[in-house]
Parts: sequence; C-alpha cells; structure tokens
Amino acid sequence: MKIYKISLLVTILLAATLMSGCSTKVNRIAPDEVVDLSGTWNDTDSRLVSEEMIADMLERPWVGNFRAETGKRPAVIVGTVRNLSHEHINLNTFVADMERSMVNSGRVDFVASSFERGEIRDERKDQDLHAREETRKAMGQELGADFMLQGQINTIIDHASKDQVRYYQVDLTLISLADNRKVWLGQKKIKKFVQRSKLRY
Amino acid sequence: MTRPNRMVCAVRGFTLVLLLVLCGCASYSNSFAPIAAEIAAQDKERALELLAKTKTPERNRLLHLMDRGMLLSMNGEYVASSQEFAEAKKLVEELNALSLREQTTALMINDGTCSYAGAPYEQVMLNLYSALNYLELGQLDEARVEALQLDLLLGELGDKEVGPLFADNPFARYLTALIYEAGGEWSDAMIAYRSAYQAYLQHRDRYPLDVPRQLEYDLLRASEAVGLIEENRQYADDFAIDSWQSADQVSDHGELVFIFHNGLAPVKIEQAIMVPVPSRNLLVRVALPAYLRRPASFSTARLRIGGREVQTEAFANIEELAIAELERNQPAILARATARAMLKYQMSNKAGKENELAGLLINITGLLTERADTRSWLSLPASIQLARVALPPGEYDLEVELLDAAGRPVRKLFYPATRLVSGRKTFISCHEVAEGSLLGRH
Repeated sequence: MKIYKISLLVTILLAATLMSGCSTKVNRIAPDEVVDLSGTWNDTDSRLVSEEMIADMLERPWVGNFRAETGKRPAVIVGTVRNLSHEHINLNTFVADMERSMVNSGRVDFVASSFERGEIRDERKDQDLHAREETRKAMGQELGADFMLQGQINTIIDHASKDQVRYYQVDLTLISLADNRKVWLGQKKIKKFVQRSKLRY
Repeated sequence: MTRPNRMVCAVRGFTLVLLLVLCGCASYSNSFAPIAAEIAAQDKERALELLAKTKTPERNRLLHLMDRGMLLSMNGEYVASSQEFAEAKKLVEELNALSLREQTTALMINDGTCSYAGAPYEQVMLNLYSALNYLELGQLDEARVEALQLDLLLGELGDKEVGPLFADNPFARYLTALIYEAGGEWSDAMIAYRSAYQAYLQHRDRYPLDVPRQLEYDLLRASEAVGLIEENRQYADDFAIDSWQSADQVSDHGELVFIFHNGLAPVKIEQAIMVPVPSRNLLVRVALPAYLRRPASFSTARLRIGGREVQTEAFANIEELAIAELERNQPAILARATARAMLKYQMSNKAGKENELAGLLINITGLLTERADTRSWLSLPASIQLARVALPPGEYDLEVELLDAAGRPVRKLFYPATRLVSGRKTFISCHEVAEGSLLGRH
C-alpha cells in the first residue's frame, strides 16, 4: 500500500514537470524594445528607419525655402516605396510609420494617398445625394500635393557557411510635383551580422 | 520442456506486437496514395481535406507544409499557399543545423526517425513555387524577392558541394530571368538567361532534358537588348536562328507565359538487399530506398490563343533529377545502413551470450526496425513545361489541350477572357495529373 502511494506520488510529480515544459509562455514587452530573432527586417528596423529619415527630411532647407517662396506649408504625399530586397517586407507598416512622423511634426501638410482618396471621393459623392445642404462637402476642393515621396529598400547579402552579413539600404527621394526637382535625398543603412546555429536539439 | 515453450510463446507475442506497431508506420509514400488519387480525379478540395486528416509526426512537418502549399496552389489559393511555403522555408533553415540526438537515433533504429529537411532540389522548388504563386497574383515585386532568394540559395548550394547537378537548377535560373525581364531589368535578365543556358548544358549530359528552343530565342533577344553584339552573333550562329522578335517588339505586345506542371514526381519504395561484411565474414540485411517512376501523365500541352497555336516545351525534369539525387546519396545511405546492421548484430550477439531470449528479441527488433527512408515531396510534378506567346494587348479566350503520348487530346482546359496588357507578362500555371499515371514502374 505504501509503495503504491509513493509510486503514485512520483508519477504525478513526473507528469507535472513534463507538462510544465509544454505550456505557452507569454511575456509582455514594450513596443520600442529591440528583439532580434532571425536577423530579418523587423518592427524595430521599420520604426527606426522611418523616424530617423523623416526627422532628417524635415530639418533640411527645402521646407524653409518653400515657405519663403509661397508662404504656405508644403503639402506632401507618399508615392510608392518599392521592396527590392531579399525579403518579403511589410511596407504598409513602414509607410504608416513615415506618415505618422510627418503628420505629427506639424511642419508639413499631408495628403491622403491615392488609395485612401478613392474612398473619400466615394463618400463625397454619396453626401451629394444624401447629406443635408449645410453639411455637404463640395467636390473639387482637395488640397493638391506639392511634393511626392518615393523610395526603395535594397539589400546585399554576403554569406559563408552559417554566417551571414545582411546589409539594408533604404533610399527616399522627395520630388517636386511642379517641376520634377529632387529637393531631398535620404539614405539610411543597416548592417546585421547573423550567425546561424550549427547544432539543434 | 516447459521453459523453451514459454520462451517461444514470448518471442511470438513480442514479434506480433512489434509487427502491429510497425504496420502502423507504413512507408511515407504509401500514405500519400489516396491524396494522389484525388489530385488525378481533379478534386483538389478533397485532396486538401484528406491531407488535413492525415496525422503527421513532427519529424515530417516539412513534408506536410510542402504538400499543403502545393495543393493550395493547385486549388488557386495562392496567398495561403505562399504562407505555407514561407513556413516551410523557415523550417528548412532551422533543420539545417545538426541534431546529435537525431543522428544517434538514426544510427540505432533507421534513417526515417530524423526530421526531414528536404533534398537540395526540393529546397529550390520551395522558392520556385512561391515565386510562381506571386506571379499568378500579379505581384511582381514579391516574385522578385523570391528570385533574389533563389539566387542566394543556389549560391549557397554551390558552396556546399552538393554536386554539379544540384548546385544549379536550370528552370530556377530561367524563372528568375523571366521575373527580371518582366520588371524591365534587362541586364539582370541577361545574366540569369546565360546562367540558365549553362545549367541546361550541364544537366543535358546527365539525363534527358534539352536546352529549350524558347531559351535560345530569349538569349538572342536579351543579348541584343543589353548590347552584347559579339555574344548575340555567337548565339545566332550556335542556334542557327536568323530572325527573332526584339525586346521592343515584345514590349509593345502583352505576353502570355503558360506553365504546365505535368504529372507527379516519382515515389520512393523500400528494397531489401543483403550486404557482405568481409572483415567479419557476415552477410547483413539492409533496407534501401529506391525510386519508382510513374508513367508520364501527358506528353505536352497545346495552346490556342488569338488564332495562334503553340505547344509547351519541357523546361524541368523533376523525375530524373530526383532519381539522380538518390543515386548520388545511395553510397552514404548504404554505408550508414551497413554500420547500423553491424551495430544491431553486435548488440544482439552480446546480449545473446548472457541471455538467449534477450539476444533473440534484440535481433528480431533490429530486423523489424530496419526500414528505408522513403520520404520525399510527392506532390511535385514529374516535369514542368512552358510556352510563351506575345500578342497585341486585349482579352483572349485561351484554350489548352493536354495531349497523350500519341498526340491525341485527352483533357481540355479553358481560360476565358485572359487579359494581356502591353509591356506586361501574364502568368498562368496549371498542374494536371492523368488517372492512369499513379501506378509506379521500375
């Protein structure tokens, strides 16, 4: 009887230890904390690159020049950012990060992208039919952008057996819509050394 | 009298139990047969359902992901398919690291106990099919990402000394060239077309796969577009072609790229052979994998579009590539299997000296667990064929006839209102399997 009880206890303990290894563990971390798992482009890269590049862009003389010439704040629109890298990069978060930095700076006006405009125009058309006269928004009153931001992400990858150097280069160009003048060129580089494990369990 | 009887009973009982256990883990290639039957019956939904129902042990997760990705792609669910392939690629990367635990188990029991990490040509196919998914979706930039990854992977394979046949994959090179050309990157396209040509020449010597006629025209067009006059003249002489459509003429048109994935890749079966071990004067039984070719599904596909009639050409012969891959690995597999048989023999011998019954049991267990590793990516096609047609922009009804060996049309496919846009390429893939092609032959 005693032996039976002891063996039962041991079994339960053993089962408990084994089971504890199986449960999912979740630790909350701050969104700005750097966690590098695989060495690929991640949220930290997207945030740092967009913040730094937009901060650089807004400090440059073209903003002041435009204000001096026209007396207005420049209106900017984001065109296409092409992913020419080795990875599938989520460009939506990258573009959203850039837009946020620009809008929140208050130094430039920001125009909705062509995709977003479509929905807004549909809504105005709908208002034309259904909304009350005094609340109706007229068509043809949109703010035309003065500058368009375009860019691309490139990578160079060098490797030897399990080691890799991943080099990312993000180029952004701000082009004047009136005369195709390039008023600002921004570049940001990231270099990562990734050592892949030679052994696993 | 009673003792040996009890012993015999115990051995019989144990053997029976072991046999039952082993019957449960029938070879991997057998478990895919019902799914292959549904693919041949053109019911891809049902094939997906069957795949979802099959229990996959963790060590075969890669195979499950690859098959699921392939079936989803066949069923037109390209986004979901690419997600499976992305997951599979990540897994391959993880499995590239060596596991001492698995190596030890493989040496004690059999090769099938290791996690399946994919043959080099299968790893290339993962990127290739991912790229095809994106092309089908019209996402050229995403397909370009896969093309860059393919370049990187082929470079890595070249460093790994996997043999000249597997370090380069002609169709993968050709597809990257197509992607660069579609994006107007002529110099990259030219380099890739040239690499594809070199790879075709290399593969042509080993198994039946010729340099596609289409590639010869592509090389002429690309070398002309980037201004390599000398090379262009050389190609024109070598291929005996004196006129071709220039890059400008093609870019005024819209181009249809039709990719026909024909049949299913060969299956691995188990073959037992007796190997002599001269140093010990012994004969040991080992189980080795061998490929079984399937009868060809279709000979070719005939396209009718805008009054033109074009036949597809073979661009990849996965069947022969898989067989060559196994041939290359066979010496290593045999060496491992022989070492394993020796180890098992010694263990049972040692145990037998102390206890006859234990020795017998270890011997039987050793024999029964000696199974060949018959795993491979079974939903891959046996071959890939391709045809390109440039036509004035517009909407066309595309009619495809799949021909049998005698050139008779046996299956018809219809793609109504296929849009060709000037300066762009429209990619259409189809994977068809004939019902009579599932029985293997040596």
